[in-house]
Amino acid sequence: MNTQVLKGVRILIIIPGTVSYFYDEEGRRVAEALRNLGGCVDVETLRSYTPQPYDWCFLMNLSEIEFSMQSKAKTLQHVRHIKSFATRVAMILLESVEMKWFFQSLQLLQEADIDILLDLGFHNQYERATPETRKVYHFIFNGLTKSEREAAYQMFTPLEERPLPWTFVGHLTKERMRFLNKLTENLSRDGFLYLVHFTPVTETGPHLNQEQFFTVLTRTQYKIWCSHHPFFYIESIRFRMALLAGTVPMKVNLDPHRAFDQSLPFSYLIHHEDDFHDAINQLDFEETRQKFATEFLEYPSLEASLLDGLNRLG
Amino acid sequence: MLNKNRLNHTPNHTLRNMPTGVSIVIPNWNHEYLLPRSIQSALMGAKQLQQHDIPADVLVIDDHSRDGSLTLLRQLEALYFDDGLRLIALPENVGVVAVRNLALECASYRYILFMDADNELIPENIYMFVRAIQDTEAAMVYGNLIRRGPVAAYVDMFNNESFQNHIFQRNYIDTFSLYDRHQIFDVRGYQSIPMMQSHEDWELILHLAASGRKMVFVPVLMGIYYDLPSSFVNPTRSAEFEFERKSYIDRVFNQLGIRFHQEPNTYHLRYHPDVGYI
Amino acid sequence: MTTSYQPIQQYQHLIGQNGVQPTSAQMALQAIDVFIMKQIAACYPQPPTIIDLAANHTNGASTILWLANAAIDHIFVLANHDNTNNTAQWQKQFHHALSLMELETAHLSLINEALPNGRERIENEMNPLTPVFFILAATDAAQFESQVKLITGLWDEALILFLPLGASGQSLVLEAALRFCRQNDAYQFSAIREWSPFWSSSQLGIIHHQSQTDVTDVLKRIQQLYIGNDDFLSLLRMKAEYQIQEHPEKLLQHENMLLGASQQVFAINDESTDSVPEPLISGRLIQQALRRMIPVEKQPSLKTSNQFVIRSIRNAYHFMIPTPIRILLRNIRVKLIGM
Repeated sequence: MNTQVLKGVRILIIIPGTVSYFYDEEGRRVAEALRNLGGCVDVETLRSYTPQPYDWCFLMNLSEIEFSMQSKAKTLQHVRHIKSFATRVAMILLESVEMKWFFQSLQLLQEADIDILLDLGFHNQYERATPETRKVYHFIFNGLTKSEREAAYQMFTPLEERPLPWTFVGHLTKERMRFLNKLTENLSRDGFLYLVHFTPVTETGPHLNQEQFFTVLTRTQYKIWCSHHPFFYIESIRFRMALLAGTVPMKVNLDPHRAFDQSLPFSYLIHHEDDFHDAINQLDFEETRQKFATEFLEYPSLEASLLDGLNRLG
Repeated sequence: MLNKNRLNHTPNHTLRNMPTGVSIVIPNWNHEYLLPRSIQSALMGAKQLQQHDIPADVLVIDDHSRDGSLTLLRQLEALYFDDGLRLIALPENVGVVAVRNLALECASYRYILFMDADNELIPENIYMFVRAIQDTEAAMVYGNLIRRGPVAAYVDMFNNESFQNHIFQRNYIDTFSLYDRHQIFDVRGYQSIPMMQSHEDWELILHLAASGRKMVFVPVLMGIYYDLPSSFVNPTRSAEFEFERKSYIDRVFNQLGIRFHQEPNTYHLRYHPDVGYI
Repeated sequence: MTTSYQPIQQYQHLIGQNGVQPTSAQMALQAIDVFIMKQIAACYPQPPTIIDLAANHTNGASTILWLANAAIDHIFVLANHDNTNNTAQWQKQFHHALSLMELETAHLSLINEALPNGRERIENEMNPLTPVFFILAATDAAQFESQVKLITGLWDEALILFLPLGASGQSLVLEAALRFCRQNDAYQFSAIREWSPFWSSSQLGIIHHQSQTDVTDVLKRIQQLYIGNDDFLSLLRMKAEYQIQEHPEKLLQHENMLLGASQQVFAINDESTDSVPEPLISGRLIQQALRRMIPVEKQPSLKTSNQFVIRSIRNAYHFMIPTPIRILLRNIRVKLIGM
């Protein structure tokens, strides 16, 4: 790949800058990928950016940015200000297009008069999107960055060094509780279980930060999770974190209709809550992990996806 | 030997060092039909520990039940004595605080796991809690509890977070935990205080925290807590009383709101024996 | 059992620290036997006088049993020095352990004699109005038999508690006890393990004069402590019924598993051999049918009566129609509608 294809292109990435690390981390990844393509990238928050000419500005989830600013008015004011010196502005999301938070961000997008939404993920959600969403929607495959590809096998420690049979971490919701019941009844009860009550992520709160979660995953065989909403969505972040920690991801589909497109990435690691335990019991850990890594590395890199996306957007 | 005179008193002498091991203590008061489940899970837990060369037994203290529990307990004791089941049948009802303090005095081993007669232990995980309490030298370690309600659809979880400031508003750490008997004894065990009636476990937790002791959350499933109708008698309190209780807690354990500025030693401690502190 | 046995455990721990290991005793006392012996003494109309002939065999544990039991009048321990190393050892540690355990010893008499030599002293010191219990270690059948004859010759109304009884058909001690009672029909023999299923591990036997009706009364009274409203079969049935009520899908899985195994018997070439379909009629299907008929908003209020009806129908179906017929019906359904 031509690593200088974006030479001279100036890009600003606005991250929320809160303790909720997801979007900050994704922002930094996007920055890394664009730099690997030769772009000149600044990563800032709405409180720290410097007004100067940019070719592109990517806003990492307007809802999270608004939360960090604690003011919708100020958020929109800043965004409009950025539009005055950035040629193109887009919002990047990693959400299900059916979630209420997605619509919150979409509404902010519309109020800010931005017409580009980049959905960073594993599957194109255009068909599931509302007509309003489709007007602004563009899919970008959330592949691995260059450094992530290089680090892919670093934490592939053997099974004996992974005493935790599974890890289930997240917010405590009714659906997850129902699934947890099945997990403990059908699979095993001795995994790492950390479900906290729904509270905003803060420094003093009970949530695990990225480093803590990663440490746990490096000692885990299967990273199990399910969405905290009923809509089908493949969380690319979780799959990537699993790869880098050397664990095997297992997404549990709570969708009562069960069906999903089997051609989607890593479909053999997505199972319904009623039979996920059979699936895990039939898997060979080392083999599955290797298969998972190989497949992931075969998909387009984030650099390639972003470049493709930017080219499509002109 | 059992000193019945001490039943209603809080521990006021020094406990000699006890051998390493775990006593799973089940106070019972009129829970005949639920005892087989709790005792079976406890015996399985004791067996798991013995397989790791950790001595363990199950001590049921019957607080003068009148529902036939004692007959069943005698039967079970006769059948499972060699598996470590022990029974103390109290000649009069003394209340759960005195029963727990009695357990602190009489149990055979250093670590005590308190569980209620209507609960169920996850036996395969108890070894992890023992490792955690030994590694961290905590006064108490606790893990996730799945709460099942009267109807199958109701299921919840609690005991699922580390010690944080909001415990001064509401208790979310249950007695169903593993304790270092030496440390609990040294802080004089459970107290029967009218203002904290039915919440003596909360009082102990706050007391331990205020005394600088560690209470560590282990992110592993410890047991199942069954929320049955009239599981225990808990009189409803007026809003006034609740306010007074809150004032009491603030006065005793968080005067001037100091805990929010000077976090206790136990603040936010999470530990898994295969991972370390998290 | 726990509180009865605790003093013995404590005693064994104390003498163990000074080199007298529990395993060196010729005979071990089990918790169940300790409890029953203690209860017999506690329930007897008068506190008995205990004559302990088992002390040497138990390293003194049999004596501790009675010293820790407040419901006796006096205890005579006949523990003649037999010049074995073991006897000397435990007797040396015995008094020290007693003082550490703070046990009352005013009613203890240690006699360095064997029967019949110690009889005079016993009769001089004991309260003649108390019933007499003998504790025997039946480690040797011939010796046991001669002791029983000796005791009953000296105190014809004594109660003889002895152990270990041994397994039926293999125990010479058991045979000796039965033989004695056959030859002396004034005496009766009881094996404690036959009184209650919860005493099945007991090794205690009792020989008593038939005029000693108190023994039987006391044993019945102790037996009653172990008779509750539920035996284990009824508890098991309750648990099974609860499981059926709360987890019908698990019952279905189990049924499917059984039906799957039986498919091989009928040798049906079924495409769906990997996943066994539901039986022809099952509670689950009934439940699903009912759910479809009743509006969603009305289901919670009907849940209780719903469950009762479903359970009744399911139980009736399982009860009335034998398994082979149910299998046949299921297979017919599979053939007809393919599911």
